[in-house]
Amino acid sequence: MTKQKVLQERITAAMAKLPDDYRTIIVLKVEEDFSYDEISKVLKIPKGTVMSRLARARQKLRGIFKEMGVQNK
Amino acid sequence: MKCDLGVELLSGYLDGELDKEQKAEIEKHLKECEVCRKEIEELRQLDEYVRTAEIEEPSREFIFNINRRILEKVKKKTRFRLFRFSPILAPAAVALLVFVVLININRPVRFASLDERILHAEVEAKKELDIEIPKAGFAREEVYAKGVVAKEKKALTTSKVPTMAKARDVEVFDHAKKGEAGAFGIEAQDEIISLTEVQELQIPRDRIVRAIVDSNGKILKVATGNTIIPERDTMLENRLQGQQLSPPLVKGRRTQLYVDLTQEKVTKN
Repeated sequence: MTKQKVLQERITAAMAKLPDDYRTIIVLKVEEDFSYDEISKVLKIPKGTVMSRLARARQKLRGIFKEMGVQNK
Repeated sequence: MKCDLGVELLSGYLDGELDKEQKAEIEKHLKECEVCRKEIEELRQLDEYVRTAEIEEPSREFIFNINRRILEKVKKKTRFRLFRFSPILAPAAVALLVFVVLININRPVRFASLDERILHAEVEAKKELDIEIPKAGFAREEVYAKGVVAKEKKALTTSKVPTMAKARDVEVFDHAKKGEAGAFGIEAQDEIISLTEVQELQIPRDRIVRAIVDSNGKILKVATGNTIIPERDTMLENRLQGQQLSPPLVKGRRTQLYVDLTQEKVTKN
């Protein structure tokens, strides 16, 4: 298995470990490139919540990555 | 050494969601604060990693059922029906589902084909989300009023596909929202980009696909989302991924482009 594949699997596993609402918001923003406005409409939450939840989600994910040994370049 | 600037602000800055003043303040702060500069880099890296994650695609049955339900709603001649749907949170399913949740049908429309119906339903759903999107069945002669477009044509090249068939046009529609064109340093023009594609894609009935491109115009990911056959989506994605779709349209952020891949000229039905 290549290094790349290992990394990808770890990342996928890390994403799965995220709590549902964190994962949702990260996918909507990072993967689907929704704006905060769009996210707030879709998830029916205030825009301020979008920003704070997204920040917390990123921090949580960063923590999981560290646990799983996903290094930053 | 620590900085007490919140992750939240940096995260908002990274996403381009801060207002003018906040943005200026952060940029000023970043000039002086290495801790925060590192933090931004880490967040960028995190995003890159997320994008490489394998997103589970919905099963064929799942997509088929959703499309079937959309069609049932479209057929009914009722006004303002809201489609309720309890969210299942597999990552890819979320994106698909959010469109379904906000479908609002307010008048009956006649369609030439099943795909047009599905596309129409998705377009209607996206209107709810206030996303600019070209109308379904859009012929090449029409112009897209609010698109942010590049000023020159560029050929698509690929080294992955073994056979290079004759050139075909690939239309690119950018769904930049109103008022943002100026911010990206490019004027909005009433124009469609036509690109010459050097491969033939065997996808006769899909019209519009959605491509996520980075700021260099390189395709990162493709989603059709409105086809009944998911395998075709994957095929299409494999063929287009990594290709240069157009010159830089948007500085900084990735953008979503709607790519028209009809094989023959679109005729009005």
